[in-house]
Amino acid sequence: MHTQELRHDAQDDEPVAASADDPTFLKLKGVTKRYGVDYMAVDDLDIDVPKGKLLGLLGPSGCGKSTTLRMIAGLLDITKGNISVDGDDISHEPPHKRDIGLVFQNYALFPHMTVAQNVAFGLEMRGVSRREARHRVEEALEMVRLPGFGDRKPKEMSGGQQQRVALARALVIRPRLLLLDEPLSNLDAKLRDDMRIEIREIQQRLQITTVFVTHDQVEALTMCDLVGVMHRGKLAQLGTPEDIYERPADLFVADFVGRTNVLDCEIEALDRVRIGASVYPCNTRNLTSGKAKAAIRPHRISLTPSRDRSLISIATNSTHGRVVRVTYIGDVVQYDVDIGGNVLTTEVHTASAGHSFQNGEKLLCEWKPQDMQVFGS
Amino acid sequence: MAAIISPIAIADAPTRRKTFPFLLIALLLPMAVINFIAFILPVIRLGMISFIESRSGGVLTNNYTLENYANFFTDSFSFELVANSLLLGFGVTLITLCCAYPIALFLHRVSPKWRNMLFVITVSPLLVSSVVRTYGWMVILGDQGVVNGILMSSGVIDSPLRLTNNTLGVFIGMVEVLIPYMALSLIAGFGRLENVYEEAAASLGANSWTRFRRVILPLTAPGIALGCLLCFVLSISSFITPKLLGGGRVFLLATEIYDQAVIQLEWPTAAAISVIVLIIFGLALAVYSRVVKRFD
Amino acid sequence: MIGQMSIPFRLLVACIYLFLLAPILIVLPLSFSNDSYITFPPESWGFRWYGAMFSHSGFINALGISLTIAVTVTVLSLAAGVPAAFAIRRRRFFGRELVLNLFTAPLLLPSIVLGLAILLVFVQARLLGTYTGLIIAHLIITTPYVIRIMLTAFSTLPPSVEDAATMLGAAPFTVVRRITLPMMMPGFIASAALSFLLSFDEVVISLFITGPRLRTLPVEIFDYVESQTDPMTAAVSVVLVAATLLIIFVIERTLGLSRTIGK
Repeated sequence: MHTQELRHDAQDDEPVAASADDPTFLKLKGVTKRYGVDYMAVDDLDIDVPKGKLLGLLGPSGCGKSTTLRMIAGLLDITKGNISVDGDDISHEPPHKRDIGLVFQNYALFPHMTVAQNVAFGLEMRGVSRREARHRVEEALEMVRLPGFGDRKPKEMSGGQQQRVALARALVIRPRLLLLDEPLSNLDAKLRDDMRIEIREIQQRLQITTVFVTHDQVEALTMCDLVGVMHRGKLAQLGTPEDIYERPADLFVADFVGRTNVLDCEIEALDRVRIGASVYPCNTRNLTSGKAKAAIRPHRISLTPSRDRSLISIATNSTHGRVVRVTYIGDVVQYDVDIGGNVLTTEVHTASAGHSFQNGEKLLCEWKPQDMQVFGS
Repeated sequence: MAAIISPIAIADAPTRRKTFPFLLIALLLPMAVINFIAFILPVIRLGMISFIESRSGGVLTNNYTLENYANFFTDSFSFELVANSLLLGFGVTLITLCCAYPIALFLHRVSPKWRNMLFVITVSPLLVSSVVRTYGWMVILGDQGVVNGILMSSGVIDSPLRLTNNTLGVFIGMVEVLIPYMALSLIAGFGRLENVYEEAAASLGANSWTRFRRVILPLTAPGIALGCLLCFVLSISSFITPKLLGGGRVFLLATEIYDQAVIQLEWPTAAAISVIVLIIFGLALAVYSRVVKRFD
Repeated sequence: MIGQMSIPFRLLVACIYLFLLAPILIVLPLSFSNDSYITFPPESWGFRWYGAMFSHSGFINALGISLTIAVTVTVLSLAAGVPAAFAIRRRRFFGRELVLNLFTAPLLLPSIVLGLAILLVFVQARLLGTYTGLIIAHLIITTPYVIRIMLTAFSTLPPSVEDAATMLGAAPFTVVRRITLPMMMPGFIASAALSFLLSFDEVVISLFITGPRLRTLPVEIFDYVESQTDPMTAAVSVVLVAATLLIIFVIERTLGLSRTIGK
């Protein structure tokens, strides 16, 4: 509720300044980083982030996401293109004048300073008076739920606490932009879940435009307003988490975000593909012939015992199969099903499972045509 | 100081914004000047002088000659010098290894609480002047020194044992002087040794001797090779200990360089012997790099 | 069971440590001998040789000379070595590896050879028996250690702390002053202490280039030991060892010697 109010205020404050046709706050235009003669670490990146939104840059290691972040921060020169924040071109501004908060993967707290001195450092650089600085440091530590920790040294704190100090240090200067470089990757699983919620909550409360680099798709999907999937220095897709998951732009995105069965197929017609001996209706996205790949998410496949044939509906794709492996994971059971040449990975929630299948059992796999994505190969 | 002996990788300089060449030059210049005046120039000059003809009394001429080397290789005394230096070098290295290995193994296994203090004790002799340490050995080994005093007052011997002013004294003193260097090299090489390997070997049925021979020794071999190189090289070039404990009766390449240069003022001869010492160094280094390649 | 050490092994190690420390420990009782020559155990005890040491003008002069040289060498070693190590670690330039090898190569040269080589150049440059000559010669011994220690110190600087300071608004010079230098402190102290001790204890090269009027303390002791066999050297040694131990103790207490030099 509190969050709601704050967000409301933020919108009321700037009814005119943020013009309706250009709400972009952070703008990357043709941003390129080239090493040597022809190695493109980042290749012609165009990204617009509206004010107050959280953009996740998602990709495997070496895809250029960290390079992009370091270029926004100014720690790396850009080879071509430009970066602007709130309409100011900052492409050639030195990093210490950019007014951007950055949280590092290893936190990079100054080991020779106390927590309070760490947090106060940015304020000191800005010539904030000692009294005000002390007040703001306390406020920032309270925000990250570490009140009273100011006199500790960083090495006396746990990883999660150091993480929160790093966040406080980046935010206390009230930066125009917040950058987070894989901030959760050094934390253990339980702490990671808590920090995910906490960072998102603080980001929304402050309405600060944020770029978040991660290789973890769960982080990207759960925390971000926008997700940019990067692959080999290029932006493979930019969209809402739902876009990325439900309507992946290419096979790489489909495969990298979430779990997917990828099957070789042949396009029969505009709305049909052949996999092995069977033909399935689906959306082939303007492809009309040739070899392609079909992708289906494991949990979008429903399983029925072979004898309940009456359940088959005309509206679904279906095929017979045989269970070749059963893996109990806890909240789901994973069945690997041989459908004649190809093996489909499928998932059934343990709570909803009416029937549990045995290894070797014959069954029927069904899925909706729109759940099968087809990509040219 | 292990860091000083072991090679340093510098390949990971970060990619940063542009470097200004004048800044780079300013950073390197003072060091380059020192290095040029006190290292590059002297080494070149040493090489040149070893080929210069000298008249009696050490007067240098402008003529170049191979005579300094020819004299060395035709003099039977030179062979004695080389043989003495090499034998002493090998012997001292071997005994030093035998003394330093238990120390290194002990330091590796002792609890961290003690390790730091014992490490400092192991290294600290390096920081005490070798003149002082050699003097200590003169006190211990001298005719009226500690060892002879104890042996004579307990009636084991009647007249003092000759423990100084001979090769034995030099040998004992040098082993002691070199133990810290050897121990440091070994400790640097012990990094690869972990208890789990020994535990694995034990679980496969190896007894403690087999574990030492088949697991500990091979894993620590690179450190042994480094320590042996260092000790051999240092013993060939050491001068203070042979001079003081040898009492002018132990003749080595290093003492001969000093005598020729400072007492006889025969600089070309001293320079030629120095070049020969450097060649022996080169050979030792070549053997070392071949041995190390085998381990990798 | 594994990693445990048997009693015989512990005894062996104790014996080796005794052997290693024997020459340093033995000078302590001997320094309190009142005899005119070395006998052990001394026939009479007292402070005679400590008194003799302080009234021996050769030792006292040499001590002053050695201290002057060691302090100068320490300052200059850091002034030359630290920027060089910084450039080698932080900048990419052509021949970086070569420059590093060249700067640390004097470590590998036997000091007897280096001493002769320096003599041959300094005799022409009229630097024999001068402060300048001795200081330059000692610098070539100390700077390789300073460079190696500082290279290690620069590389153990936690990654991205300097970038973090930059992002918080610190200009490049401020980053060096507020972040880099304070974090390098252990490296500076280790380099300074080692430079001081190396210069103060240096004897082989000094033997070649000292003159009759400018002799360092180790050279003075060397000559004394070579010509006299009385316990005065023991008294001098005790003072030197005590001073060295004090320096080591202070460094170990403040930084941990094994951490700064060892690893």
